[in-house]
Amino acid sequence: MPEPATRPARIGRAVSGRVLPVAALAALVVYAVAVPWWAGPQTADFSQALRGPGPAHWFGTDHSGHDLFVRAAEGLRVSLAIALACAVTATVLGVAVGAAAASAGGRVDMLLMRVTDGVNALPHLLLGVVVVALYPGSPWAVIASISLTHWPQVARIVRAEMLSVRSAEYVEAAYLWGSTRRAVLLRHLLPAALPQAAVGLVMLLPHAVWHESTLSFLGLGLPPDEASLGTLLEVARGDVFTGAWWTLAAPAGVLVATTLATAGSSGVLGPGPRRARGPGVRRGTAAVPGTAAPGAIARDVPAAESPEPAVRVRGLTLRLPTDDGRLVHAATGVDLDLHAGRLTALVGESGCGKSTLASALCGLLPQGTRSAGSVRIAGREVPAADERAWRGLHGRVVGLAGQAGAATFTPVRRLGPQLAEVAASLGAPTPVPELLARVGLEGSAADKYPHELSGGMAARAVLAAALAGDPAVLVADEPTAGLDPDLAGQVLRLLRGAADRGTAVLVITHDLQALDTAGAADAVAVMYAGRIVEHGPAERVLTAPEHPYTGALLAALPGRGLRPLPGLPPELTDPPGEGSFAERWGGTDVAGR
Amino acid sequence: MSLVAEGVTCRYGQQTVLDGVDLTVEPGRVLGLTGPSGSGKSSLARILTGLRSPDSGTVLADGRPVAARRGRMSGDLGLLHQSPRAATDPRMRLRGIIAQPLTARARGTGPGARGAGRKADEARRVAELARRVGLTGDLLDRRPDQVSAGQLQRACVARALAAAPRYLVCDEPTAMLDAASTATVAHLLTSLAEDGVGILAISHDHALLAAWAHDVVDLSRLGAPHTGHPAGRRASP
Repeated sequence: MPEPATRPARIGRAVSGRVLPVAALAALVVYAVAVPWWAGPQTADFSQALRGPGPAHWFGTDHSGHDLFVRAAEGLRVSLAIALACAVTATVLGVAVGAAAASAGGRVDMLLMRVTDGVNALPHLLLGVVVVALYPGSPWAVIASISLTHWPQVARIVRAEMLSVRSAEYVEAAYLWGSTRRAVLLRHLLPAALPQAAVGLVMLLPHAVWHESTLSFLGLGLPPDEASLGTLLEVARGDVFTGAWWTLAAPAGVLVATTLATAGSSGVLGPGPRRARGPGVRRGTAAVPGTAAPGAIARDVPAAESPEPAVRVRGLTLRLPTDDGRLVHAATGVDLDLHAGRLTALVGESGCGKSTLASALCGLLPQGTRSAGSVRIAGREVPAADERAWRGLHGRVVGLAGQAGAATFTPVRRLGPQLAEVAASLGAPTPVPELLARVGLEGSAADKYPHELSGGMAARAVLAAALAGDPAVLVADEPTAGLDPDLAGQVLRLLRGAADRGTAVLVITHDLQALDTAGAADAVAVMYAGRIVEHGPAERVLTAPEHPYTGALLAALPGRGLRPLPGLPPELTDPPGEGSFAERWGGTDVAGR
Repeated sequence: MSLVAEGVTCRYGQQTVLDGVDLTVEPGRVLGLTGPSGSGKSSLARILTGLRSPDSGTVLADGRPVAARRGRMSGDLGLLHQSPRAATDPRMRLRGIIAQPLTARARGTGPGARGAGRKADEARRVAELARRVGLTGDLLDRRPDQVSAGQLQRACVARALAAAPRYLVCDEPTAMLDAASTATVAHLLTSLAEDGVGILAISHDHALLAAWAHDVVDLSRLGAPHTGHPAGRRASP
């Protein structure tokens, strides 16, 4: 089929937000290194003393006639060098202490953490003053006084990160195949903690600049012949009162600019937002014209659409751009009808595009998705990109029960108030006990925190929230995932109940077994590689499938032979072929049989 | 020669989760273990592999006590976790994940086995394992968050194969998978048993175990509390 030629638009704001501070920092570093080198050694020229900023002296001159543009660069160079030394020393110390505490555990951990607390409790400036007073004018004393007081934060971060990884299942697995403690430390614990430590290092940098400047300003830091920004500020103190504001403004401006640029740059170093698989950023889609595709669909659902279905999807094609400029072919020419009072099941392997289709029906496609075809809800055409139209539909007309389970709710609040909030925001008057009763939960569940809910209870709670606005359409994405067969059956019966009360229900699931056992579905649509390959009454599809893929899917069920499907599930990202099931037969045979 | 648990008891505070469980996992067979939620299936898996010490009772692998000290484990026992996402380091690529046990073993053999030869050998082994579990080459260069749960669990099976344990405990290995991937993973593990590995397949899915395992035992009849100690608790014939 024809592919949209336009490349996905890059998100400019996010990029400039990362590039700007780094560029500013780079410019400042160049300024600090290049300007003193270019200007050469400066000599005092009292005939030029205290000139204001102008073409000859951009930042003006100080009371000795030094050019402040050059002087501030020299000061910045000293400040940056000392701050970098401090930040690196403190980070190395912090990583060493944190790693030792986390990997040793027990008493060593306790001892090291008490020491960390102790150092943290010392007044940093006071300690700095004492150390520097013992070795006046020594840059090493300044570095030592700052780095010896600033490692505890890094140590805490590193220890916490390593503790959380230490009990991870992949670390357990590594121990089981005979890895030594040292190997686990090097392969898993340190790699997990180092990105955090790097952020700590960058955050320490501006802090150390300020700390050193403070010491120098107090006259305890570096002598005027090795001026840092703080020394310049101290020198400027007297001149400001004579009206020479620029003597203060030049070093202060450079100091503030450096701090802002460094703090901003730390965001670039950080681990960054974890890239989500599938729908991540919501909102905003672009329509793509001319991609209607003929679907080879074995369908025997009544094509006559006498009563307008609650949801009518025709020729829906969805293309999701990935970060590296490829396209995920999530849906291709999908036709689907959801009728009031009927439960339709959408089945297929993981990663066949089911959940993206669900997002499309709820107006929650990721940013930049290109779509073609039509989605009509309650008789009205709703373009995928029309955010405002969708906003009125969310929860009230189309309810979504996502697959996150207990993670759907805020972990720090009880269930009851959260459900009440959902109902209130939808303008639904239903009290919480009734919402809970609808999904077979007892009133006491309202007092539980999300983590206290069992898998089955969480699935019900998610349904309660989705049904709070009495939507005409309910989309349930993998409502039975991770539930044992009994619980899965109960949840499917709840959904059946919702359909019997007149809701159009779409259940997206890969759990054919539960679907078959519960007998809850009226119709079953089978999805393969983004296409609906078969769609018909549940009984017929599950007993006498017409499409070979449906047959293979059913044969994989434990009760029907547990036969693996041939080859590998199809790739939806820039698929090489048509994505038909027949192509898969040529794939690698599993397990070398 | 088998993995034998005798009188294993496990307590969390006042609560007794396992009470005198006897279980035998034999090489070359798939033993199914089922039981309701909270009956201590996962605790038993951790005890059998040495990740947790039983409060009383013994676990012997081929007659020797199971090593329970981290960093000193023998590698004879493997554990296949329920969630492949939690069981893989999110920072590594699939290729590296599968190679991990090989790398760890190579370090153990000392300075003789270093260099380019070892690297090439390792790459060859990884490719071979990937082919066996049905992972294509392009998937090997991805990180865990870029593949599906089914694909990642295949990588975990490949990693378990690379570790070459004598006994593999599988704690709900298919709970996160769709029916098609479940069938694939079940067949892979069966083929592993045919190579002589003893497999303990823990699952709440009775239908799956009935179709897959050679024998099935119910933990609630083996020594979960309040059920008494019926005679003939030995799990495996």
